[in-house]
Amino acid sequence: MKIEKIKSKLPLTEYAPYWNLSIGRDVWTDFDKVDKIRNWLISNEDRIKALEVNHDAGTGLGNDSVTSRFGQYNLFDFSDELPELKDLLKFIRVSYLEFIVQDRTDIFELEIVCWFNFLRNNETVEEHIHGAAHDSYLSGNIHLDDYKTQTYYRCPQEPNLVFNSSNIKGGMTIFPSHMPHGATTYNETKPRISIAFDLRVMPDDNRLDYCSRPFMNPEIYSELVDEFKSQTYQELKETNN
Amino acid sequence: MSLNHKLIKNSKKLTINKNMQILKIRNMLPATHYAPYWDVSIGKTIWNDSEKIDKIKNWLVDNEQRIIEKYPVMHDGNTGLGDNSATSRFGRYNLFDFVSELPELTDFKKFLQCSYLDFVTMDHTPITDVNIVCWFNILRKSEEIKEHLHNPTYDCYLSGNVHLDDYETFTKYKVPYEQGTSHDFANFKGGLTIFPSCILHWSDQHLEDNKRVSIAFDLRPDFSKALDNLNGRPFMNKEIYKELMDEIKNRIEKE
Repeated sequence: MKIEKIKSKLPLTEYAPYWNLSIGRDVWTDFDKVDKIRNWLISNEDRIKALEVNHDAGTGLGNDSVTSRFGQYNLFDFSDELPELKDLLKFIRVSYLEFIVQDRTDIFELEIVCWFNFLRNNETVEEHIHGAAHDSYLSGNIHLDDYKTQTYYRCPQEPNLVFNSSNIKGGMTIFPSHMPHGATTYNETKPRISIAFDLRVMPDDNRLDYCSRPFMNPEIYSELVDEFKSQTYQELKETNN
Repeated sequence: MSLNHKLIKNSKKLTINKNMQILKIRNMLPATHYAPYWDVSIGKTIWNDSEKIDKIKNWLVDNEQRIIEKYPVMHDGNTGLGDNSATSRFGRYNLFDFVSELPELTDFKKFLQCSYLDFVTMDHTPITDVNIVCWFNILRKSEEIKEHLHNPTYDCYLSGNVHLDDYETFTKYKVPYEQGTSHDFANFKGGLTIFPSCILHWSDQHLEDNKRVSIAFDLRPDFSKALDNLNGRPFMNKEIYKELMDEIKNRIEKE
């Protein structure tokens, strides 16, 4: 996990803006699993598109896109059909923990909303945000192959300040949900496939829409830590032997 | 440089122009480390001296071509008005340099200075040593001012605009995090809006046959490096403040 900081100078007046944005990047290097997930998504695009349209969230991909079904399903609900999704979820969880540890912020009890996107030749992801409310948190995306596109992230207060991220196989980006972002036009014949997610804090009434599923809570954290400890113990034992 | 160093000490806080109103655009306190927060103040007031406004407007209309021809293009500040506009000469001159030709500018500047003092007093921020960069804009039928901002950097302070007649257009202000929401201010005669220079704003299309004339300005702290190239003139400092206060006191005593 590598964090890029987009930070303004300290304001010199009462009316000057200030920003301190963190963008995390990591790569899931289990390319066999990345391929399996990508192929499953290609085979199941039409099945997901049979679900009711939600909206395309300002991406410009329209109501015919699989993107516009976001929130009508959760990709991780298909883990029985595609066990590799369990490993992907674990990768995202561990990356999230690494992100907040490096960024020195607190762990929250979270739900995940997860969906996927297809871009075809000549399509673009228009600039959009995932949420700017007082309880907005983090979002992310993962690309399932090497694509000749870039996802750009714009500083909300200084529109000329842009961070570009290449779309590489297994490459994951975590960013604040309120950051405007979009992707450059895709000019290849094979479909460009990505998975996107929002991490959301539990509201007071414990009700979240968009088919959200538990992402981080004391039990999940404990399980991850136990697994990590036993892995570390095993590794230590093997090293000692 | 410490900001406190530049503050005018012992300035007595009082409001001069009772018309100043401040609109606060503020979100809920963030519930997470990554949620945005904004607390923006936009002030509006009115200069009621209709005759002087007319004189200034007529002078600007008569002198538009002179300004365009005399000064080289700076840029149009992303307003979309292009290099043939008076707007694109902003920073090449300062409107208040024409006070000998148009004495009404003296009263206009005083109105701006008093409005500035009202604004910072009501907004509970300190009076600061600032310079003014001042220019004017003329829109013709079907022209519009595209979304732009004046200064998003660490030395950003306040900007403003004044409309010189009643126009059917609105100037719209947008907080960076609020997507699809704008705060719309009608463009009426003598109406002044003061806003942080980092706020995006634009105006809708002017559909009337007359020329839509407005004056715009940036208040820049005197440590702002950009001032070197923008023909800034002193707008508020200890001496100006004292003069203004003395004048107001005299006026009150006479009354």
